[in-house]
Amino acid sequence: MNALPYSIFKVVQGLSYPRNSEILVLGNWETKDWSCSQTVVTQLSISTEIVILSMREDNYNHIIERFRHIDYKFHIVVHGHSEEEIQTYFQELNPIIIKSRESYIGIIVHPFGEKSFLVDKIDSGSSIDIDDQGFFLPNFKRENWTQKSDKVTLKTEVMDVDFYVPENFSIKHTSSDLLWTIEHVLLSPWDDRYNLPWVPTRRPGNMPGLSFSGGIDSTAAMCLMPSNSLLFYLERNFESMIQHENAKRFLSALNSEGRKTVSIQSNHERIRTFHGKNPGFSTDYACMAHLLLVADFYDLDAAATGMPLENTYFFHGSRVRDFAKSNFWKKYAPMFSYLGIPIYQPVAGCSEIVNNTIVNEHNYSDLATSCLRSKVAGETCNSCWKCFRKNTFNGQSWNMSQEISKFLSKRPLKQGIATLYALQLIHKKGLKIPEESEDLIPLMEKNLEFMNNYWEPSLELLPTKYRKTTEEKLSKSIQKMKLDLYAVDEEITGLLRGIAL
Amino acid sequence: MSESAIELENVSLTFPRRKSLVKLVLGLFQKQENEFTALDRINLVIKQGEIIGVIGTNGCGKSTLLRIISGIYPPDQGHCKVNGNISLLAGLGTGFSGHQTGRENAILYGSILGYSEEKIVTKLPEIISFSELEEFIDEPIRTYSAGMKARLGLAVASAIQPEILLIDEVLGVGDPTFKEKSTNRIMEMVQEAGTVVIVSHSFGMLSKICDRIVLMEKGKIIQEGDPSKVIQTYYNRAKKINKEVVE
Repeated sequence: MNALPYSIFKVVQGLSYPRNSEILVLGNWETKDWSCSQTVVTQLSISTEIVILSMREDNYNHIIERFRHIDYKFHIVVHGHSEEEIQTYFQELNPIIIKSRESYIGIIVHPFGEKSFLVDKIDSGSSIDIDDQGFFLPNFKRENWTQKSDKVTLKTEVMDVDFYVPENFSIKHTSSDLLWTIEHVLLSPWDDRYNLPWVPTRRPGNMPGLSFSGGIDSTAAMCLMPSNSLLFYLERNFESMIQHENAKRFLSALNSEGRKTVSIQSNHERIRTFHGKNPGFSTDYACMAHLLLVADFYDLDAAATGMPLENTYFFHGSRVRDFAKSNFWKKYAPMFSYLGIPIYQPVAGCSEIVNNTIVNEHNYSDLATSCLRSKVAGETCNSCWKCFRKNTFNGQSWNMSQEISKFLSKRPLKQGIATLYALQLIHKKGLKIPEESEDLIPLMEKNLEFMNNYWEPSLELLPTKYRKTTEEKLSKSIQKMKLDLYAVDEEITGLLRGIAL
Repeated sequence: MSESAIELENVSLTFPRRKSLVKLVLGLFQKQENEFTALDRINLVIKQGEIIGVIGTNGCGKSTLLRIISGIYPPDQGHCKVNGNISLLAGLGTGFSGHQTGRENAILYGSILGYSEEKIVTKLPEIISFSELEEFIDEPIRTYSAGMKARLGLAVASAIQPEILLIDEVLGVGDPTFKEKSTNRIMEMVQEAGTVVIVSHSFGMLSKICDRIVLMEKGKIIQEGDPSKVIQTYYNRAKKINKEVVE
């Protein structure tokens, strides 16, 4: 097998993004670069969308014949060593021939094929220079990114965003696609430039990375990932209520177990404060900004988070949805897949209750601490919203605080279905339900046993490379839900949203 | 003279279903359909000078439609009116007799297509030359390759220029070297014929030469009009069907 020419890889990404296309490769090339973004097949069928040919092979007549047949609809990408040879054999199909650093490439666009970034460029008669970094990423400005020693800075309109990177890291060797995606997850809510067309063309790495907070959900995610997964901890480098002592204690314990962890300091959570909000993540995947920055440095091929069921299949914790069909997933999943670092959410089908069980079974319950308020390592505040849920799941006490009171009275109820589960545990102990949640008393006898099981369809969203590992690890201790999640009682989800049915 | 070359009004055609022994036995116990509808209430008017393409998946009734127009099948219901002499290019060489020579088969095949022996005999030198079978024309046709038979079939079928030309998937017959020649010949006929109805799977050729395209599905016309729009509909429906099959 020969190495796949990067120019061919880029052309195919440009012809397909954001779809996962069925590709037939008729050349002696290694195709693993497409493992995240495309489906490579060995035979031409009516569902084939792109055929890649080498002029060295002698099979183009058959392909040309099929190309003309109305039951087929595929673009052809031809790799050749001269413009003339491509022109000679494909003349009647009017190929667009481009010169890249490595070779000549003929692109034959099917007139009824799917539209895409590259097809639009061809149709509009624009010049095509795939070696120009700006071709597939037209709005990116590398000059906004600088590095001084271990400090990498992204200059934005509102502030300088800093990241403190590991030794030997170089911004120069970091893919522009990764940097643009970081900008996307940090700035897109306030800047429409990030909605303009572009095509990620980074090749995948070799190892999964997890955006690790040291809390229950990301610890459960870690337990369900391969043991060589790298853990990336984000440390706020500005004064706030969040304390890092517990997380640091956990990271240190993990290091002594032989796990590789990387801590990166950043102030990116301050961006929101310039838009009238409290510090926090600009978007749900802003939690991966630090991981994305070092994804080339650590050769990552998957970006994991501990996003649980309450945020995936339960929209805002209270409305059941098909996460795979959500606009959120449809927007980010192809972007990360084409970036060669597909989103890996091992606990997308697991509730906080399941994650708590996984953490307990892996003996991390003393180390995994969701509480971000305690200034003393190994201790929890017992009065924050996270302590309320974790302590209740584990049958421990908690102290009513302004924060807990505020969240319990909010509708939709935060982490709705998991919080309801916690309230049921309080009720089962014979204790009084906090008055802020008295409207939920009719739900105290509702059966929420399914929250102790995992929702199987979530496994389909895992990167193919890691699906089996995660499924095996998960099914060792947790069973599949027998109940159809979409059949969850509307009375429950309605009341969690503050609507009495 | 009527402005329309072909008029189909409410044309339907059914065929009896073939039954295997198993189905015959099963038929004793359960009700089974004895016939299927190949064409279902087709209404189509083709003007003189129009080039019409017919597309659809296999078994949708495209070839049957051409056979109704050419008069091979009479409709069970409705009417088919044709103004002008017709030539159907379909299944080239079907009906050749193996033990007879190429020359004898050319005359025989011409008569199947509705040409008089006299007319074919006058066209024979042209037929032999076009088919490039000079050395083999007096050999029994069983000694011919499939490509040679197709060449002779096309040469006979295209020897006489009709007013209405019906083409059923016969573009580019024969071996690779003859393909270009046969395609050119048919395209010449298309240009010279007053009216053409062409069944093809070549979307490029159809969108290039057709004034209008008809999309058929399960014996019915489901869309007709601008070639690009109808071909797009075909792709959209095929995508939907494939998706359903996968799901």
